[in-house]
Amino acid sequence: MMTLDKQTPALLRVQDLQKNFQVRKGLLGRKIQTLKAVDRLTFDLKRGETLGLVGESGCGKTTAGKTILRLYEPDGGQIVFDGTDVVGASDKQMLALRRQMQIVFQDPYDSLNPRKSVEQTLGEPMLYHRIVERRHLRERIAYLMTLVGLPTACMNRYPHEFSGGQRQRIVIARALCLEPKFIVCDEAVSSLDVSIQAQIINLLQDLQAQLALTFLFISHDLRVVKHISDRVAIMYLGKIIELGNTSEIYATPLHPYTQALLSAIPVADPFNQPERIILSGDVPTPTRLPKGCRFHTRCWLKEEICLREEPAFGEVANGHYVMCHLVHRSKEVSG
Amino acid sequence: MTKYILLRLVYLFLTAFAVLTIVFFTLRVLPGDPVYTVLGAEAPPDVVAQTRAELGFDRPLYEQFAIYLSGFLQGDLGTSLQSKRPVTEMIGLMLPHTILLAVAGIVIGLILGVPLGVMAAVKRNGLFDSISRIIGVSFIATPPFFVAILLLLVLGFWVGAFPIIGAGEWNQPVDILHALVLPAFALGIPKAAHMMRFTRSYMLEVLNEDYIRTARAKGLREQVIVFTHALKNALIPVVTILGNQLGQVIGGAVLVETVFTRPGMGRLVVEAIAGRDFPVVQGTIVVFSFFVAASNMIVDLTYGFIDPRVRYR
Amino acid sequence: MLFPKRFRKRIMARLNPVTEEECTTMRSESVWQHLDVRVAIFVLAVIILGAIFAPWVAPYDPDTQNFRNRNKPPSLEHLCGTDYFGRDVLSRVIFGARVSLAIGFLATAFAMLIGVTLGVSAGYLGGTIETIVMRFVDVMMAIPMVITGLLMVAALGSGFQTLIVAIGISMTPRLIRLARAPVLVIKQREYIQAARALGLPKRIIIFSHIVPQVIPPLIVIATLQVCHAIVIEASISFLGLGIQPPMSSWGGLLKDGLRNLPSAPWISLTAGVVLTLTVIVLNILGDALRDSLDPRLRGRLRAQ
Repeated sequence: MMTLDKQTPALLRVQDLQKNFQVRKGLLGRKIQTLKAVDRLTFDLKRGETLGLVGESGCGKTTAGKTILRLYEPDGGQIVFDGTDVVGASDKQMLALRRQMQIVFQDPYDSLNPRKSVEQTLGEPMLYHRIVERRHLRERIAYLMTLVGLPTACMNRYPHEFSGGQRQRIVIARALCLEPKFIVCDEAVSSLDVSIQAQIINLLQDLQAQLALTFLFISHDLRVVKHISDRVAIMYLGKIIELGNTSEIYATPLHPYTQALLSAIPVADPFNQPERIILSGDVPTPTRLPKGCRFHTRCWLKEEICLREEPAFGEVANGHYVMCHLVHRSKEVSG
Repeated sequence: MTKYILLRLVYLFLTAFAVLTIVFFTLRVLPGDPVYTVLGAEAPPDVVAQTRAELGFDRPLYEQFAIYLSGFLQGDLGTSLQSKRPVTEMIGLMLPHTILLAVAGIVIGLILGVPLGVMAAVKRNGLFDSISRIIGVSFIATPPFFVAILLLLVLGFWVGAFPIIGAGEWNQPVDILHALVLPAFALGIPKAAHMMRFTRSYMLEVLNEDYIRTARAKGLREQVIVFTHALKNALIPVVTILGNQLGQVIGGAVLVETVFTRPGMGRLVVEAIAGRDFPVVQGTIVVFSFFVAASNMIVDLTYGFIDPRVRYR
Repeated sequence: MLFPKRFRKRIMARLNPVTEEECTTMRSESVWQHLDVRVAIFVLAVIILGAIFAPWVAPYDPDTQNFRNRNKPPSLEHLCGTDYFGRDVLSRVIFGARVSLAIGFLATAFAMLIGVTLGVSAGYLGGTIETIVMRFVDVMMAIPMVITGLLMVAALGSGFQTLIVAIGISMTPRLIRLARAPVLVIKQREYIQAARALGLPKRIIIFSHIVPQVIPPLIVIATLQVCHAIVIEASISFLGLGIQPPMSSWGGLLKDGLRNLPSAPWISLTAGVVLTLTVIVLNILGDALRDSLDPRLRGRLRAQ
């Protein structure tokens, strides 16, 4: 398997991460099938960087994000955060790690406890971790609220009294309350209106600059990812199939799947419409992945080798990795 | 399908076994010495010790359990401490009466409850609906044994139309049925109130479905819509609830039997518990739970016949 | 503008939009305004107050025997007649209410305490603990509740406290099941994952995030369960294994009444009517409480 460059110190290093789900079929749940939601995932994140993780719904990107935080127990592989092993961390080590790694969820209507006011939502974890003393708690909460652009007067309000965008700000404040270094943004703006999306993205970027945060930005929205990410990883059925700098990927996508995805971005110019690649063929059932390249059922360039062998995830240019036989072969021919 | 039934049967026996274990240890771990109930409180200590040894109560618990279990697997539930008769024989005499009563109660509940529920749903918010709602609320809550006392008083004592005691002899079917009427209604009337409310609410739900509107749009007669289209679908949840309530019906039967001084499992278990007759208590409770678990199984299987979407593997 | 103004007016009229005023009237027409609910509250209040203030409310001492007044039918002197020992039936029913209601409420509280703890823990923790607890519940549910109650009374002995424990235990399996079900849903919510991501320990998640969500629907269930508890207590006492004479309870009175049914039917009738009335009233209140919590369920039935 590939190794990522070891020179620059990475904040987060994920190696061969696996997460399987058991799917029970049949009336008494006798037949158990394994769904490889995250299949040997490998990437790393540098300090202060934003990595966009893109893919269709159901490709495992959310599972990947939650597994990195050990909200799901990983079934294999390594996660190293700032020199600490996350997979094998003891409860005590995990507690310390939790302060460093936080998450912003997709649905602000589901990710806030409806029976807790903003003050309780933000105060409970800070008191538990002894971030502040009780007498300074309200000051600290007010600071957090100002940070995410909420009026401090709303401290005693309950989630249902806020709009979607405001709720997402509370969720961000909660993610920030333990002063983390790294935040997983799991479709953090997908459920918001477009105008609000822009506000929240700007907020996230401002916060990143102010607080030196590192983001794993999970989204299915290619435009948003392009805007916010330094690097982009494209995921398909549990695996990253292409990874590289944002500008490079958007300019010269190499994997056929990436090409198809990018061709689907609407362009606001009716006279200069790019040619859209329409994928045909079926997405394989995740419990029964095809032999060979997992994309071959929908690939319009597939060759005999694609049905037989799984391609390697190899570097084609500096920091640009692709998992495709055809790309690797053309590189061998030219190089 | 066959495999599914077999699995459910295995599960059924596991449940019976688990109930047996729980009851066995509950009776023995908690205070109360059956030897004194056999001999009387004043028995001399040497007689007590001897009897205890005879009954096997001096052995360690797990040994007692193993002995009991090996008997259980051979269909032997032990011997009553009081009547000295085999428990299986006692249950064999009593069980038919209780099954007859429970089945009669459920049948009455269905025959009265389902049509009334359908009528209430069809004539929603009408006079009939209101009246049946009031009656329903009253009878759902009434404990069956109070209904039994009322029936016994009015129809048994005052009118004198039905026997007030016993269940009749098996070779006199007319007597059996005659004696069954009051207890069965005592059990069936509260059940009917339940069934009525359930049928009404599920019918209302089904009658609001799109396919009913389609049927109406096709110009089908209202009777056809109500009985062939709506009722069939509303019956599925009703059957489930019926099955799940068998435990309550049996619990009610225990008390109704007492009111009418009928022979049956109820009297058996109450007398056994009062007299600390361990083998009889174990035997009766296992049989009870077996019936409850079996009825749940039958309900699940019945699904397949009512609802073609359900298929078993 | 897609439609001219006059069309818009007509369309709006057909769409029949809800004005703000209507919203408030719809809201204020809550279940508490229904006549049956109000009557139920009134009746329950009368019964509970009667039980609490029994020594002042009851016309006679419930235990004073008077052999010249045996099995007397209702009269102005004894509104509900007298029993075989010449005791005033109404007074015995009022004092019996103390026992029956106390056991009903306390047994339910006992069952709620154990049931909610076990059910919520099983639901949230999952794994082996859940399997063991739920298999145990399955097995216990196969035994009719009255029988479990009788068994526990047989094992623990009959008395006020033991009856509470016995009835409480026999109700617990059902409450475990009812408490676990919503936890399985809440557990999947993202705010629980958020709490885990924040490093909050299981006990805080369970007691600060899950239990407060589960409690309101469970209070409704509890109201309905009090009926079960009262009926089970009456059943056990009716079978002669519960509250022992001379202490009076509704079940015991029904039993006494059954013995003298042809000669003194008023004993059973009074006790039975009061018992039934209490249970009906609690049922109506439970339904109303549930409706007010979840309007979608209005008019539906409790599944168990």
